[in-house]
Amino acid sequence: MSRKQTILTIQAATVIASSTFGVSVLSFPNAMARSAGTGAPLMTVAGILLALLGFWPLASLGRKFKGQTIFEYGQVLIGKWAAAGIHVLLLLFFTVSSALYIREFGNVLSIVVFRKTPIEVSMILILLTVAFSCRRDVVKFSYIHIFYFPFMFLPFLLLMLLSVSRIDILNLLPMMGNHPMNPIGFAQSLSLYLGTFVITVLIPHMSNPEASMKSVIYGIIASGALYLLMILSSLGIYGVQETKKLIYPTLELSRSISLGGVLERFDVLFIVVWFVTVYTTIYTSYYLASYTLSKLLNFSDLRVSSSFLFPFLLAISLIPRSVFQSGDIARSTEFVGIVLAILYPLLLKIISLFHRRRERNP
Amino acid sequence: MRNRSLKSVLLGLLLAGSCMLLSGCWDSLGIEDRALVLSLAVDEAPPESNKQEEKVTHIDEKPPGKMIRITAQIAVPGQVPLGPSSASSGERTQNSVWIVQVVGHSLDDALNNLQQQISDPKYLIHLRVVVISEAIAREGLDDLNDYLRRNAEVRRRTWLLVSDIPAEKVLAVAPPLERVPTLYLLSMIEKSVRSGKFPLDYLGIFWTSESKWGQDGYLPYISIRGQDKILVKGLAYFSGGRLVGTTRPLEIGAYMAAKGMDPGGYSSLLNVSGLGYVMVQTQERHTNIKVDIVEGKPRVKLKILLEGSITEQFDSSVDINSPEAVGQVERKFNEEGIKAVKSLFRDTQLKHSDIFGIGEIVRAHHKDFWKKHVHEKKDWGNIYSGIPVDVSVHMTIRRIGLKQ
Repeated sequence: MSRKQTILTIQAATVIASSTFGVSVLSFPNAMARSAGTGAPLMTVAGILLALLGFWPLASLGRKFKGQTIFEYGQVLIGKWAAAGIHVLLLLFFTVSSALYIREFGNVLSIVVFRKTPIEVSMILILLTVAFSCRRDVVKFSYIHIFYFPFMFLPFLLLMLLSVSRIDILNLLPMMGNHPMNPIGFAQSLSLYLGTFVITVLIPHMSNPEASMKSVIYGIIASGALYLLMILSSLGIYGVQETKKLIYPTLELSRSISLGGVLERFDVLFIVVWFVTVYTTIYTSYYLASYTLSKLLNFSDLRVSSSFLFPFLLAISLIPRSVFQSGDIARSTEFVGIVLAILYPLLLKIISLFHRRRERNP
Repeated sequence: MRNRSLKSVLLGLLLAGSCMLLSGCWDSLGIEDRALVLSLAVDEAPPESNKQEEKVTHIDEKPPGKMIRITAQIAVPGQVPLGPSSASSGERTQNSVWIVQVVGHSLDDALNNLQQQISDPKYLIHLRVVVISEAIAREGLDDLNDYLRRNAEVRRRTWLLVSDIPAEKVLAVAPPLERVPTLYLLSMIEKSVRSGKFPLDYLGIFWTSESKWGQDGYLPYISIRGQDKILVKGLAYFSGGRLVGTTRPLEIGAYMAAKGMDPGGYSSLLNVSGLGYVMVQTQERHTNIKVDIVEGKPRVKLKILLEGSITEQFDSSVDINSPEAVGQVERKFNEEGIKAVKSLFRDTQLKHSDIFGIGEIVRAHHKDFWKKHVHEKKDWGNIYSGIPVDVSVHMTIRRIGLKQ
């Protein structure tokens, strides 16, 4: 019997939940209010369903090719060079999105808490923290996620529950929105869950790979429910028009909470919790980038690749000139991400169906 | 050998670590070195203030609009008491806050001028009250709110008050109950919320209703009486970001009844025929607002259910001691209540200011009507001014006090 450590189904679900619940927590209600108005909660639910559908091929491929990640069976299914090409794109996507997360993190800290600290300092600090954690293997990676999960999940839940009593139902009606929903919103809502891609790396280490889809479902629903609560409370309290005017509606929620008229200004506490969620999200994204790189170059572990990526990440995160530019780049990266993380596994799934047919009638 | 090198590495790390501790917080700023602005008063600047302008944010540029004068109360470190103290009322006010006055073209321009004149960096983290004069509010608050919204230091729980006299005078009011004038002003307004004299309406709530297309904001309208008393005078209601009208104090009660806001804090004096004058205190309110589209127009149905008690009766030889007499008082109350609510509706309709949020109900429940007729916030204001309103009031008097 091997004494290799394995990941349980529920643990894999926790990793997915903590990876997907992340940086966009602050600005997500604003984006949803813009594209769907009062239909935002419905659109969030649609995003959850789309994500569940979208990641089904990836989970099912993992069940079929036991002990392999997409980087291995991808080569088998579409050929070595084609797969390498797509994997390079994946590498770029994860690198750029980690860099943008780091930039967003720096932006928020500069606006809200550390107004005198140069943005580079806060960015380098989080980058270093993540880069060091990235040198671990997959099992330790998931243990780190599991350790931090309660520290982000429970405070957020508490914040939302504190806000629920102030919700005005009128602000959430009509459920379909006053104006037709903007289809881009569906992509935005779906893109929250792109971190679920990490399941392909986890499956070979799971004690029960058959249950990988279960992990995906639990993970997405846990973080999706929190996103939904967040939408309901910020929209329910502020209404659509006000939410559109707030860059970080969730932060405003924490700023306006008052306990007994004595404890006020929870925003600093909130930022501390948010730091953890940002850390776990960037961690997954950076980890996937290093993992892809090490697979491309056939490295045995992630130490070299994570150190190698470090300067590139820092450089990319410093490129955008302003908040507007980083927002624009983030939006286009999301679309590329949807194509890569959802359509690529779908393509592989379809090809694998043909493979089976060929195997049956040679 | 290996042990020794490990030891020196660890010691080296310890050295590096303790060096970091030596520096302390590199950007720390003690509380004594901050100018904490507790409250601001915004007034129109006197005409000659153009000459005394400081040219801090601009040299030749002449921004449009009138200039404003800002009065800031800055907390003096060490003088703001945390507990009760026995200081007599005179020395209190002069010591605990420092009052600074500057002029400028906008809020931030004025605050920059202020910063140019005081040594410590100003902080708005403890800004609790902003008083604006009615004249400024009538010009529009959008420009003022822009700065307050952008600044991460400003709380959403700050109170914005409109005063009918120059705002600087409100800040100067120094009643003997609090050592810091701002804190008195704050506790005054917060206690009036708790006792049902005013709806909860801090800056964040005002912003939210101003943002909504189907609702307009309102603010507390205050004044001073005598040397050191502050009067909550009514609601100051807005349309399109400008103050368009004000109400009388009892109409705050009518507004809260129309919205079904608790607790009820207002008493109304009724002249009931045969029973003399009767004072009825409202204790609880429940309101059902329904909006239907009748003949292509929204029609508002307001059903107000109140609970109250009789607190006084005078100028009469007949005592209220039968259900019939109480019923008579209730009917009179209902009549007067309908009149008061309807007149408040009529006033706000004339000024296109939907402080009741009727438009939000239309938006939520009559999607098609909304889509067809409302394309910007102004559209609803125009529709609101012409809609019919039905009001019914049902007061139930439960108790008549200790006297039989």
